[in-house]
Amino acid sequence: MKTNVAGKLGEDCAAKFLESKGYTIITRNFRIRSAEIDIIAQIDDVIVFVEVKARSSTRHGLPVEAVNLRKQRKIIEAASVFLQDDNFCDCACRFDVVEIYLSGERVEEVNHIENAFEVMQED
Amino acid sequence: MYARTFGAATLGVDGLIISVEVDSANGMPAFDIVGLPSTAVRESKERVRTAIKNSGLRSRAEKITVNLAPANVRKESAGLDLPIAIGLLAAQGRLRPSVCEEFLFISELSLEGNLRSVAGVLPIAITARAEGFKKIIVAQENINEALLVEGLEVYAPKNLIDLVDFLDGEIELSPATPQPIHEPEGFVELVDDFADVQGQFMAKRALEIAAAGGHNVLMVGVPGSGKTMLAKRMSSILPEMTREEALEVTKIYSIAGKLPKGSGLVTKRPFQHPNHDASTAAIIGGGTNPTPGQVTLAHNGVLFLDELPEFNKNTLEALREPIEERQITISRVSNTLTFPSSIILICAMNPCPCGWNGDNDHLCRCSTVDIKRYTRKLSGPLLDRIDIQIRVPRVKYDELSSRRRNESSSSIRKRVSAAREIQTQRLSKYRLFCNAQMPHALIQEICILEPAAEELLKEVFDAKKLSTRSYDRIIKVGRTIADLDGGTDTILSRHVAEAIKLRSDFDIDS
Repeated sequence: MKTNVAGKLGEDCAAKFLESKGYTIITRNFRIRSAEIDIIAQIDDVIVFVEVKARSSTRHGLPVEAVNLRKQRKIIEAASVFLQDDNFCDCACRFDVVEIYLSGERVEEVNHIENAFEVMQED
Repeated sequence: MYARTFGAATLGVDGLIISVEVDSANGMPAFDIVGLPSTAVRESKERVRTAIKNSGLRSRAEKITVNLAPANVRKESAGLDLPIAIGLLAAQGRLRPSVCEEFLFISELSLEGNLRSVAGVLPIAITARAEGFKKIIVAQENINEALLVEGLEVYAPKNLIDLVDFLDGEIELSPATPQPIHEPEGFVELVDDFADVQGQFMAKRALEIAAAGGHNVLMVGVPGSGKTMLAKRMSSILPEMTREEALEVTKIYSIAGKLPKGSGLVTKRPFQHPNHDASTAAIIGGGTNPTPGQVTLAHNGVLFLDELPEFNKNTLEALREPIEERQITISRVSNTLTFPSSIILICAMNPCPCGWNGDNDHLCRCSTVDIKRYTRKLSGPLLDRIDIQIRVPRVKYDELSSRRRNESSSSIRKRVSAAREIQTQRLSKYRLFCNAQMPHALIQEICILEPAAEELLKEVFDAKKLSTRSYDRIIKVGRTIADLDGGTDTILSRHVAEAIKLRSDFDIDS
């Protein structure tokens, strides 16, 4: 299976999973020039920025490990653009990662990591 | 929401109360610590967050800002973990902010949420008391130290969750009481006592006089003659420390992190014995945020420099200020700090590189040039500050094998204490406490020699061509000997005679 297909499958699955947990999906694939956020959802007045990582094997590490510092910075950058919107500018927010373990086209396991990372203090 | 708690750091030998302001608000999740934190304080955010989580408490992912005021001082203490954690819980509404402001929190946190001891609790507690704090929270190992300050209620919860319940009013904690110190059983402490030293009567007498008058001593002797053994016993004949002196010493030990865990007041006079390759900063203190050096750790006690000429020349010269002023000022870009260093300096050295110069039974292999080079580091100004300079000869076999017990330290100490008492009465109005501290003018005023003593001193002065400083030193030591002799008003000729013997015996600078 091609990676982009797997990615799309993972994101759909993650969105369904979040909705089942009571989240409201605000938007998907929010994109600015240099970065993209897979899912933006909301629960109890908290805006949640979700990065979805799907993997069919852990040969190259866990899915969550792929969300490295560089990726985090990009997500944070996109999130700050999103929060410029008047409707959301004074909301609490959070960065989550959803790991999807695939076996062929079947989803084996979904793992939701809340508050996976935060803004780093610049020294 | 905003909350404020109080923590503390140390600056020099004093505590510094730090106001810890915590704000937790909506926004991008972050945990920033501002207000010049050191690396240890910056890393506290990981300990704080993990400790809160592992205590079964929750902290929300919000934009958390911690400010440590005053902002212009660099904060070194890991003891800020606890005030930050409590401040965070209060800012997120878990604790009532008003309750938290009544306490001073000093403790490091383990990842598990347990309170850990930190250095510098005593000076911090002293400052806290002075600034009007009534209640202080420390780790259990720090109880005895904090309790040395009267008028403070000390609480020592085991972990963060107990503390939170206590602040919530859900459980009662009673103020801590002094904890017994557990000595390992069957452990015999070896006490250095002058009774163990065979022979060396002259040296023992010299150290007694030095202890009585606070004089510095230089012992010159062949290898293995017992210089180190003698010096190590010096603190056993010094008078017991007053509570004030003991507090000063404990404070310094506390800041230097040298206080054994769980212990309270230090009652033994310090004896510091730095190796001769110690750096100047290690001896006199230093660092970007200055920390006390050996001269300060030896405050109210003895600093022993073995193999004196092997020390770095700059280090030796740097000793002049602490010897003279009884304190040392360390200036760095960030601040200038003064550390106390009221010490008796005891130095030991060999007479020459091979060690046998002047010995009757061995041949010295050193050339005159070798000896010159060896002693050249000892500058006149430094030697001038050492009132008593003696030779320590090799011990004879008969003396060594003798099983006779010599006079014990405690009986020497009685004489020393009596002599100190006389000096305190005479000198306290000048804010001095021992003879060695008398300046030239004061010597002229209060050290009166009997005519025969005057004559003797004049004779020696002319014959040996002594300097004014040497003259002063002989009189000072003479005064101490007279004090040991019952404190006669005038200094008698036998006192002057002994004083002369204690310094002209070996004279490097003449």
